[in-house]
Formats: sequence, C-alpha cells, structure tokens
Amino acid sequence: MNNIGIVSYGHTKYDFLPDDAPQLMKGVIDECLESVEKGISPKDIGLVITSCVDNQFSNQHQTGALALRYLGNLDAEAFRVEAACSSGSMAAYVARKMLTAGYVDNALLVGFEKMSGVSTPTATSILIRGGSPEENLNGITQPAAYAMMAQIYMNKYGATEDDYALVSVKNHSNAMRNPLARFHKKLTVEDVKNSRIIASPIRLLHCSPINDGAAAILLSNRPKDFTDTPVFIKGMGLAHDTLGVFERSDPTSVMASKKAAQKAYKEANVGPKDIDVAEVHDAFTPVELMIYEDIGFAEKGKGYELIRDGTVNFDGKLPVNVSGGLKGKGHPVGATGIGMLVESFLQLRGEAGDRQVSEVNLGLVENHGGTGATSVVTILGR
Amino acid sequence: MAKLISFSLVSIVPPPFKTEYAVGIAEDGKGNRMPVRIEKNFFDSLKIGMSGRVEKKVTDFGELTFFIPEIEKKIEKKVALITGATRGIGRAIAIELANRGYDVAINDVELPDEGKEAIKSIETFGRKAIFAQADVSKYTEVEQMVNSVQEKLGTIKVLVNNAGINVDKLITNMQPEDWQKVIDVNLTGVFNCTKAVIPHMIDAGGGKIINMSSQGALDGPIGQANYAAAKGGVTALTKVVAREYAQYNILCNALAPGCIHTRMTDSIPPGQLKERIYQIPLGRRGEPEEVAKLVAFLAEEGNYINGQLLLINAGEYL
Repeated sequence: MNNIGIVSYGHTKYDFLPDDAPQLMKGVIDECLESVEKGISPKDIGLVITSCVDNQFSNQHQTGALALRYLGNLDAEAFRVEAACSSGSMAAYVARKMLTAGYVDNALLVGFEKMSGVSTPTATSILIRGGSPEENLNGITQPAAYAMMAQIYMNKYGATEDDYALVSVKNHSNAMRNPLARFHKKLTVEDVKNSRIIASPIRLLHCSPINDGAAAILLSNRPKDFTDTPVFIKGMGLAHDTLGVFERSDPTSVMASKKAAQKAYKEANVGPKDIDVAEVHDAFTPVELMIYEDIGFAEKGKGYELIRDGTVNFDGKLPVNVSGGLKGKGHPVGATGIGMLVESFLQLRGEAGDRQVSEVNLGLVENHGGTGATSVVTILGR
Repeated sequence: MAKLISFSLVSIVPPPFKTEYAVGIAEDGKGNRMPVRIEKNFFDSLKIGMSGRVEKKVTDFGELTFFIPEIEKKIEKKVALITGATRGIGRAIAIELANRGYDVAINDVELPDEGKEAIKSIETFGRKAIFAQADVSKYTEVEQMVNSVQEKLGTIKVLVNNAGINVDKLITNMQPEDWQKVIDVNLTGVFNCTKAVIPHMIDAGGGKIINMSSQGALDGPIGQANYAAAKGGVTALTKVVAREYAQYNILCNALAPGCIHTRMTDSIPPGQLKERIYQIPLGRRGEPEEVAKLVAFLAEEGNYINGQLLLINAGEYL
C-alpha cells in the first residue's frame, strides 16, 4: 500500500464564505485538478469520494454524483462517507483500500461543509448527533462531553486550566502564519481564561469555530505519473470506541486514536520518535493534550508537559498543529480530515510557506469523530 | 448508591433545551456508568467521586436520569432590591417581601422618616434592611449601589424597579427637561438597574425582575405624555428582558397599577379624584399593600409567568 501517494490538492480558506456547498466543492475540485503538475484527464479518475457530515448544513444530497459532474467524468464511480468529524480521513482510508485492491488507479477526495447557513443553536443540535443516543437525550453536547473528559484529566493528572489555555494560544499563534486559517488573531492565556463558559470547564476560546470550507486531494497508486514529488501514505490506521464518553473505562484517553496510531506506526514501520510534524484533532483544545499521550508523544498523564515546555510549539522539537489546528485554522467538519492531510502534504513538500517546519521527513495526522468513536491516524512521507 | 465520575455545566444549549443545565457521568454500585442530569443548584458543590443516588424522571424531553448528590441542599438566602422604596408602593413591597423572609435593600435618592420607620419595622421581624442610596437615572451610581448591596446582603434574587416620578403637564406646556427628567428616572432607571443586576443573577442561577409600569401606559392619560411614554417603554423593555434572559432562569414581568392610594393620587384635585374613583367598579383606590402582594406572588410563586404586563386596577381599565 506504500505506493499510494497524494498528487495534488485544493483548499479553500476556512471562514464564513459566500459560496454554497456545491460551489465550495467545485472550487476545490477545479483547483486540485489544475494543480496536477504533469496533468491528468478526468477520464483517468475512476473514483470520487465526498465527505460531508450533515445534510442540514450543506443542503445537498448525492454529492458523489454532483462531484462527478464537476470533475467532468460521469463514467467514474462516486459516493459519500460520513464518520462525524473524521469523515475526511475516512474518505482517504476507503480510497486507499480501493486503490490498493486495484479497483481504480486514481481517486479524488472532496471534503466540504457549509456550516454558516444555520444558527449556532441549530449547529450545536446538529453536531450533538456525533455523540451517543443516551448523551443526546440528556443534552450532553460535544463541548460538554469533552468538558467531562477535561475535568477528569485535570483531577487525575494535575493538568490545569492554564495548560488547556496554552493549547489555544499556541494554535492561534500558528494560525497567524497560515493564510487559509480562519483566525489571524493572537491570544493570551488570560484571553482564553476570561472567555465565556460554553460547558464548564470548556470556554469559548477552547472551541474550534463553526465555519465553511472545503478541501480536496488526488490519490494515486502511480503518483509519479503526475508529479515528481508526491507524498506517500506510509501507514494508516482506523479504529473505533464507544460513542459515549460515559461508556469508556478511561475517559481521559481517545482510545480509538491510540489503536489507530498503533496500526499506522506498525504499517509504516516507524514510531512516535520518528515523526517530525503532526496535525491532531483539537476540536476542543484540552483534548490535544490527551492525544499527545494516545499517539505516543508523551507518557500517560504527562501530555501537558509538552505544552508547558514548548516541545509542541512551532519552534519546538515536535511541532503540533502548525496549520493552526482546528482551533485556529477552523473546523468545517466534513472538510477537516482532508484539510489536515493537505497540511501534511505541504509540509513534506516544503511548500508550507511561513509555517514550514525544517527537515520534515514524516508527518502524522490524527483525525477523530465525535469524542473519538472513530479515529483515523495517517503517517505520510516522501 | 452511585458515584459521580465527571460533570459539566452546559451554558450553550442545543434546541429543544433553552436554559443552562448540569450534566455528568455517574457510576452505580454495579460499576455501570450512565449519563445524568444534575439539578443546577447542586453545581457549586459537585466534586468528582462524590456519592449520591440516581433517579429516573419523565420530562418533556423523555425519561432522563438524574444524579442527586448526597449533600444538604443549600438554604437559599433571599435578597431583594426595591428602587424608590422609602414611600408608597415601594415601601409596601419592601415590607411585604421582608415579611416573606427577604433581606431588603431600600433604594431612593434620600431617606425620609417614612423610610427609616420601614427599615426599623423590617428589623423587628428579624430581617435585614439597608438603605441603598442612588439616583437610578445615573448608571455609575446604580452600579456602585448594586455592588454594595451584594456585599452587604448577598446575591440579589429579586429586583423591583419601582422608582418613578411624575411631572404632569399638557404637551404644549411640557418643557423638554420635564420630558427628559421623567424618562430618565422612570425608563432609563429601569434599564440601569436591570443591566447592573442581571450579571449577578446569572451567576446565582436566576432571579426575578418586576417592573412598575402603569395603567397610564395603556389609556393615554391627559397631562402625562412623559409618564405614559416612559411606562410604555418599561412594558416593552420588560418583554425584551424576558426573552433575553429566560435561558438563565431570570423571569421579568411588569405591573400596571391603576389608581393606587399614594402621594401621586393624593395630589389629584379632590373633584377629579372622586370622578376617577367613580369609574372604578370597586369604587375605591387600591392600597399599596395590595400591589405589594402581587409583587410578592411574582417573586415567590411566579415561576411560569414571564414577559407579562399584569393589570391591578379593580377593573377600571379592561
């Protein structure tokens, strides 16, 4: 499977955008095709997978077939995948399996979400669907579920609200260097700690924003036909856990990400120490500290040390979320996973501009759905 | 017996929920974990690992499981701030609420003998009463007053915006300053006090705001353009507050008293007053204590009354 690589990409800015969902899709499909360095005919793309979390956001069914129209190849096959916030990575996971099986040679993945068309309460009620039915019934929103994880983590391991705030500060600082990011505003720990409570102890500035956006990548099992510098998927793991945080024996761990990371490391035949840069799923910034532990960057209960000592800063030994992460860059849910892969692609090709990390040989992307019932971890390299 | 594994106070809530609520994860004696609701008034006492019991309740949103912590419910201290309360209706409200267990802050621009007597009589039945000096038309004074009341008595659970003045003249005789003065006290004063108190009520988990509008807001009394307009504004403001803050369990209503036995109606020329009383089916003025009882009802019992204008006039205006 290690011959499968990313050839090109398309990526909108994440923001409140004037385009509707189909226009967002078309924009990134066009950009992705036009940026194939050696060119590609639509007829050579046999598969399109779209990723969008909820129709109530994007107001469009049959997005697979619609994407084929925009691609210009109605003879290809297409469908949509949904795995809450990990939908984008799920599209990549499925495509890679199909490419590996020789089902097609080239696959276009299109993630998008048009979230600004609904009110914030409606968006909250849509996003709560990523939790378990029991959580939904009790009004345990996504921030509330993460809040309960964060509460236990502080109580058990001695992390503080300052540590959680520092993740937001870091990711906003990183987003300053990313023209595609939603926020270009530096934060202080005090800004975060003084922002209003959403679900205690989670505050507004711990939360990734609701916004629009789309991202696309072209995957190929003969990527060098299309570019001399593809980025290969070296390893990829998909794993699951319960939807409800209450059902988990250890709510301070995103166990699906832990299992997915182990699978990805094993396939790539590398370990956490080999990773040079990572994008992880900081939908609510406290969880970023737990992810450090789950993907092996820190021992259990010591993830917060990495934010305190600056290891994960842009100029640290192991930069995490240099794009700004979901917090600073934005989180148009269906696009997020593909957008994260785009960031790793750019870092590995040395094309990340002001946010380029030096000497990147291996990148890691951790993208999970809900509070971690589905997780996909991808390891990418040149 | 169950154990609390974690908890959170959800402030931004999804439809169909409207008001903030507490949630948690509880573990029963057999090690089964479940999502739970927790009554909000327990929130400040919650700790990971604390004991309690779980109980299923059928609600409008389905059957929810509640965690009831094993602690005594806090006895809520009741504090009321009544503006313009040294005389008349305000004074009667202060005494009525004190009778019902409230510590009261009596606001006015000065403290006349009637006010001093009210404070003394409240103290005789064991409640605290303080004079809270402020001109409600001036926000900085109001803010200082509210902070001082919070410090001396505790969180304000009931705000009665009663302070009012009248400068009655036909519009042709009414000077702009006559207009402005009444608007400043009777309408801006309500806004100022409401704005200063609401953040404290939100922190405390709710409260009641009761505004004195007037029958004059409804029936166009000749010579009271400023007063009627201000009271109409109070009615409109009441509805906005009711919608904006119900999610924090703050309920806001207004009263429209008719002809009440106060200095204001005492000043009506006797002949005119008799004519007016003749229009009242009950054939008499209302007493301030009768208005105070309605305020106390709203404060104590009115948990499903919000954004309403309640008329208390013995049928004079229907």
